[in-house]
Amino acid sequence: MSMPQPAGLPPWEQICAYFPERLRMACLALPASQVQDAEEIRLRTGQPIAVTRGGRPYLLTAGGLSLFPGPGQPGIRVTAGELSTCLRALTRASLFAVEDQLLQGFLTLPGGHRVGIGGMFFLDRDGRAGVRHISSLNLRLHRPLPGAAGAVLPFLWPDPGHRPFSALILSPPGAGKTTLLRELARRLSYGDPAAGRVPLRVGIVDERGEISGPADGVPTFDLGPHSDVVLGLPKGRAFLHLLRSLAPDVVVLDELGQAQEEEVLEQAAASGVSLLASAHAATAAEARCRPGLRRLLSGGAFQRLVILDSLDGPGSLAAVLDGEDRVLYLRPGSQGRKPFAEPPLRQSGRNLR
Amino acid sequence: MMLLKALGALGVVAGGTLAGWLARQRVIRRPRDLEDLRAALHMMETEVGYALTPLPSAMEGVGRRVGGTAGDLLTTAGRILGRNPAAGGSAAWRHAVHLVRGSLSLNNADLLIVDQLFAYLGDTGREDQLKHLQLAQSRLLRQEEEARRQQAAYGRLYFYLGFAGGAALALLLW
Repeated sequence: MSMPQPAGLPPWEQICAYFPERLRMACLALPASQVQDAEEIRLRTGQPIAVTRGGRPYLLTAGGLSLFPGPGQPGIRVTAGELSTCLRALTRASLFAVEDQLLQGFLTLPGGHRVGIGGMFFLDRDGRAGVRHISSLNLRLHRPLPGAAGAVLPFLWPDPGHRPFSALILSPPGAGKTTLLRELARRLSYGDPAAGRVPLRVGIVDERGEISGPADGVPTFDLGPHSDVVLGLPKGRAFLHLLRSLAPDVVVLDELGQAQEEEVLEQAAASGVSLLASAHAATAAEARCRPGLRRLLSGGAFQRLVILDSLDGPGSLAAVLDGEDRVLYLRPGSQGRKPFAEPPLRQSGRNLR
Repeated sequence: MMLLKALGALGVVAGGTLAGWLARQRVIRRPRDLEDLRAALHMMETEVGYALTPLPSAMEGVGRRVGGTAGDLLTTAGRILGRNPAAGGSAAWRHAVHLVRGSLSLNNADLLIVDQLFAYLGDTGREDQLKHLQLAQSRLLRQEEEARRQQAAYGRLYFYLGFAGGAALALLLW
């Protein structure tokens, strides 16, 4: 197996390039119709390869993907050795170098795909976590969402004479928040002469490299000519660094979660820059269940809430609210649902249907 | 005829002496190569534990800084690992040893220590990597001490044995 060279290949083949020969051949043998909408591939030691499509976990068998493989359809099982080989290819034989990223959530691969791990962890005497043994890998395929930012941007920056509104993008995991953030950062950085939008200096806080997909510290995604990325620092510190050193007009940051980060953002909301952030929540009501986010929302840190789901595939725009929960946009046919109060019945492709 | 026999005998003696000299050079070079290898692993500790440099780049960079046979070996192994990380550090190390085998003063026991290190290197977390690197250094230090004793005891001996062996063979063939 040679070093994967994923650029230029379709997302499915980019991911399969990291697999050992036997698994790669089995995955590449699947018809395009079964993999073009694949969202995840999971490798678990001793278990068949699982492929998530449309929120449903299929198993890879000799006959293709199946939800309930029969006795005559043996699954393509992953051995411990194959999992190790795959992990080496994904980490460039350097688990130690990406251990912190994996422990914080995901390792981002060139191309924007993400790798999550399951297995045995430990805490040392100082409370530092480490990885002892990895038994499962979750490879989330990245697919661009062309045009996703185009639908959102008029709500975020309706008046080119003023700076864009600060916005919080909400969705369950896997619904395209990061991809939308990346696309928005790129559009703001390039500007739009047709709409009278001048290019803005965009600062991107990218703790785990999920927005920029870096290779050796250099973004592999086009984030525009006026974007600066701060990688590897916790969000709070990275944000302060951006403000002091790089003077951005807009700061982009992904997946708010920790209370300390939200405290910094609370102060940052009044610092004269626009914020574009994202958080895991299906509705505004769910977001308000988290104390840090509740404080930010009630403190007026965000003037727009963008709610995504996977109803029409990842990145579907469900609703846009203003800072006081007034609906500015609701997906046609969604009347009766209250994006700011109750989670819609089928909010995510991950829900069982 | 006599002249030819004398030239042949001289050749046999010279050959024996050369073999003894080469064996002596290996004995002299081994402690230095082991010291370089140990220094390289010490530098790797910084690269792995603090700079979090990916293993192939760390090996290549440290190898270039250390230089010599040990440095060349590490640089070559790093390059091989960079091309095929899925095969793992141990396979890359063995491949590199195979490529430079002829110029090595290190013996199998020395090489096995690094081989065993590379079987783990890259596959576990930072703390574990540091422990393995430190363990390998202490094992190499013991090898180095033993190599220095051998150098003091047998360095000249190999040279004289080569010369004497060559002379004895020449006499037997006369």
